[in-house]
Amino acid sequence: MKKHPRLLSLFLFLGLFIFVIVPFIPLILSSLSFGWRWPDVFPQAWSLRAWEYVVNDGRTWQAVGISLWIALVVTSVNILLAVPAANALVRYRVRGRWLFEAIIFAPIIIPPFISVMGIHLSFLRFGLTETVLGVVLAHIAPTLPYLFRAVMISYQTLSVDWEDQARMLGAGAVPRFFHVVLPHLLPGILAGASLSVLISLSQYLITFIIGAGQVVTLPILLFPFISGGDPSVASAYSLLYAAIAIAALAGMDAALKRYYQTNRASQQEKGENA
Amino acid sequence: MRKFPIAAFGTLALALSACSSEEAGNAKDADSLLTDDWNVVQDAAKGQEVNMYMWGGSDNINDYLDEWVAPRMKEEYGIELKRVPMNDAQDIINQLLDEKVAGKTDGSMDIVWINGENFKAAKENGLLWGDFTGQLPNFNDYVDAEAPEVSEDFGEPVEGLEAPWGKAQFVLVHDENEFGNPPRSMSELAEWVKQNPGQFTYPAPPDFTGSAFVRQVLYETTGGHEQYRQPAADIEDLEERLEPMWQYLNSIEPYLWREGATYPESLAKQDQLFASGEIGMTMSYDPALAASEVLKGRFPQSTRTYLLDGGTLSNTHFLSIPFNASDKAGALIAINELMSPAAQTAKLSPENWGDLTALDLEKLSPEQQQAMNEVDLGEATLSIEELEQNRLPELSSDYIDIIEEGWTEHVAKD
Amino acid sequence: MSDLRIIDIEKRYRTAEPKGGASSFMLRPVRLTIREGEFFSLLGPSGCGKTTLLKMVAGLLEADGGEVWVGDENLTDVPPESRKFAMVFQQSLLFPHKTIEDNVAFGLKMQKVGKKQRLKAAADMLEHVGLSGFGSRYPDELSGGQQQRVALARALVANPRVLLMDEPFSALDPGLREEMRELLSRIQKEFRVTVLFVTHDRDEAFALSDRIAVMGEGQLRQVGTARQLYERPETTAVAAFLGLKNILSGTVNNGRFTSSDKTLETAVNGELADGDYFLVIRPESIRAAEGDRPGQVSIKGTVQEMTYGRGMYSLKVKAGSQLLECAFTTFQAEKTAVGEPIELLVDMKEAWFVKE
Repeated sequence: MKKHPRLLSLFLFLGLFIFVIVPFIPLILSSLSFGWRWPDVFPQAWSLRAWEYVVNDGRTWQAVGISLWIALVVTSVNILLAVPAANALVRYRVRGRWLFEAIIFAPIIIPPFISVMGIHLSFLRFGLTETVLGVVLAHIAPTLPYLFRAVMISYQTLSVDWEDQARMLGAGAVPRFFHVVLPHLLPGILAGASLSVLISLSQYLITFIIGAGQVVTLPILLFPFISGGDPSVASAYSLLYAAIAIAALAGMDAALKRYYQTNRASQQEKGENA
Repeated sequence: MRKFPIAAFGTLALALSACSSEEAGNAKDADSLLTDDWNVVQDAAKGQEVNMYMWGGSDNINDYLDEWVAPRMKEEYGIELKRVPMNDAQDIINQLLDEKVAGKTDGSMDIVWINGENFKAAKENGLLWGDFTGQLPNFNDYVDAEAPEVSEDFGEPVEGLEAPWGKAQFVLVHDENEFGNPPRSMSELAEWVKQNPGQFTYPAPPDFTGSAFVRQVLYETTGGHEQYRQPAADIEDLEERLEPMWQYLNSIEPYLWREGATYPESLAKQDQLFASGEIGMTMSYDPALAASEVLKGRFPQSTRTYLLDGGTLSNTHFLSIPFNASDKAGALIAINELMSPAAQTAKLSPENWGDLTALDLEKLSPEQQQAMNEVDLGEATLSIEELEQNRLPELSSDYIDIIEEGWTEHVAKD
Repeated sequence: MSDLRIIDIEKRYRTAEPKGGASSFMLRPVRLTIREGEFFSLLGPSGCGKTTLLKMVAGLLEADGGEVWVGDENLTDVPPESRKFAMVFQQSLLFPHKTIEDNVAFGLKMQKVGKKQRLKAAADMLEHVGLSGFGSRYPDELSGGQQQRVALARALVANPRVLLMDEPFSALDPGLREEMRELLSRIQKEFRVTVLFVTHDRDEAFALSDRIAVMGEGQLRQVGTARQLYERPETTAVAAFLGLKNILSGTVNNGRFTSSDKTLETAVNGELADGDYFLVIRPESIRAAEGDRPGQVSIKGTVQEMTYGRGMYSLKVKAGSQLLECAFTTFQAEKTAVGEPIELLVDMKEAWFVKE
């Protein structure tokens, strides 16, 4: 590993600061301000009103829970769909493969709410509206493409030789998947899953239409405040939303690191015992 | 192969629709609630969970419902009042339209907060339950059902499909310390902007408040509102009649904020400009909004509201019950309770919301009147009396459409 | 005896028309028997079908016909993971997220051998390949040669019936390659494992193999020991592939061979019938003339090129239309120089006739 010159790391830090940290500052100030008036650079008086509203409203925490739960389920379902689908598309000559890919990737290009308007009626008939299940199903359309793409790229970089090697060592299909394929896909799955979680967390319209107000996620609470509502509360909600998103990503990252570490650690232990 | 999934879905859909038609029987029973004795309604409502779908962008309003109304509903009637936040009442109508098409009879919206165009759309598409206001004791006791602001909603006859919840009136907002003597008519305003260039603007229609300002101009520059009581289509020379309004708006344009090159896209943006001192005046269709902004510290303490000499537009906002509400009895009880003098008095307080009452003050008992008058509306808000005496009726939505389109054509593009 | 028997295994091109004739074969039917404990190499240029054959033996590639047997067990329809074969690829293909130890023990793990036992076996095997103490490292901490040793250890640990190797050393540096050959040779003898080894490198095949099958253009050309192949190639193609460049076309008439450019004429053993032949002369059987000797034929030519390599000189001598390659000792080579005429003697006992 080359050591970065000091100047470069300084620039990196500055860039990070300007693009990541700075946008949060007005949000933080706005959420805590009482009468922040022009031309003051900083608010003259402070108030916890917005935060008190956000934190004390029981719905906030319920919404955080439901948002995370939906994102988790959506992402799990996506992984279960994307891994076999990517396997089939990469490993076998599938007829009409372009059509299949086009259908999966369509939601990236076609705004998802168009399809959601369409499925709303069907969901109504099947009784899926106003349910978490319905919202989960609706969230799959805009999130699956990203996970699928990430897994497919991971699959493409996994040479068949690896699986052949495992076969020649006596590994059947299931051990092959868990010992060879999954460890290789894991970083890709995690990258795709992060996107899937973030996109699911940020869905307003789809959640709103399918959930019909009965599935209250964080964006459902946040949106009315952003569009013409109280700016302090909107800022507080936005910060909370960002914190949840960052926490979710950090949590996933930590889980992966832990997975690798326990794997390594347990193997090192074995090494010492042997 | 390909036929199989369609057939499967078809069967599933049939099975599901069969389920829902069974429940339709219950919905028919609910119609008797429109004539039942009130005690029967109260008994039926006990234990129901009532979902109230309403705009959720104000912590004040949200808190009023969650912390003032909901506990009382629970305590007095055993009803669980659940507020469901919405971004736009338009979404409620779209949702109900789909539910109607899909034949959903066990809807979860029990109360919806609407008025104006949304009410018109809901009424025309049969999305509302029925003529229920006559069942509500508080409506019968405290509301003047004949008053135009109750019997009509933006020109659309209400026909008992929705119950008045509160009133709004157009006011202009200024900072007393900056501009002591604000313009009280459109002709004064034209002078004022010339003396104070860049200090005035209005949100671009179709913003609700900006559109109301343009109607305010219409009333004053084209000779009063009475001529517009008939449908827009019946006025043959409408274009000529509107002409002075466009002339007026174009004449003040050079003296507006940023010389009229752009207009704030929403009232929130305009209020931001006012709060930051960039412009000297703003406006509101909520006479208590300025007071509440002062309470939050966004507007300066010296902020005041005032009316135009010729009166200002006013409208009523209503609560209604959708055709497929699952808990109609609970909805009736809840709406009745929201119209009680106590709830209306609490709603009037700027600490809770600051929304004007829908009740007729003269029908209240002296004690109730006193309670209402004692509410401290804040220095920024005008007295209820002054507001009531200067009301002008709203236009029906066919005019509003014409004016909003015309503004883009005549003012924004020039 | 658990010999590996390959019975008429064949592979056709998918895209070819049915009855497309000879060109539709990726690999023409191959019949081979590899004895238990034998080191057997498939030698040929790239694209000759040797890897295809190996993968069909492994079961990784489905054959279009034919059978694979070990002893009296027909493995044709047995999936690769159940054939109890092992395979070492060109890349070491060590599982990057597993330690060296776990990599080596993988085959035993798949056989549900207990943890203690399999780690013990892995440690033993690592010792055999000279990597004891590396067990707890990860593959990316090892050099290329070390990785390939681990791959070898991993393949052998489960005691496979046949070890298949697909050019396992071709990605290594030449010096390392020889070191690995010696290691493999030693270990193969130690474990008496049957090896089927694919390579395009003659020296590698010669150094390691008990027997070699030379392949070319999708078919088996000749099977034999290194010496048999080198000294008695059955076709000019085999001779050419084994690096024999002195191939003179000519005719045998009444027991005498005459090259087509008339530079060489000699008596041949009476066994040869009249007809067109190729005479294959190995470079080692040519010497500079130091007076006539019986049984030797002389050729006159001019030295065109001299290159030194590993204690010997390699000369290219122009004789008639032929360019002859000769291996001279330093002592012999010092007596001549490029451009000078030279008289060569060919030991006809070492010469070999190929009938085309």
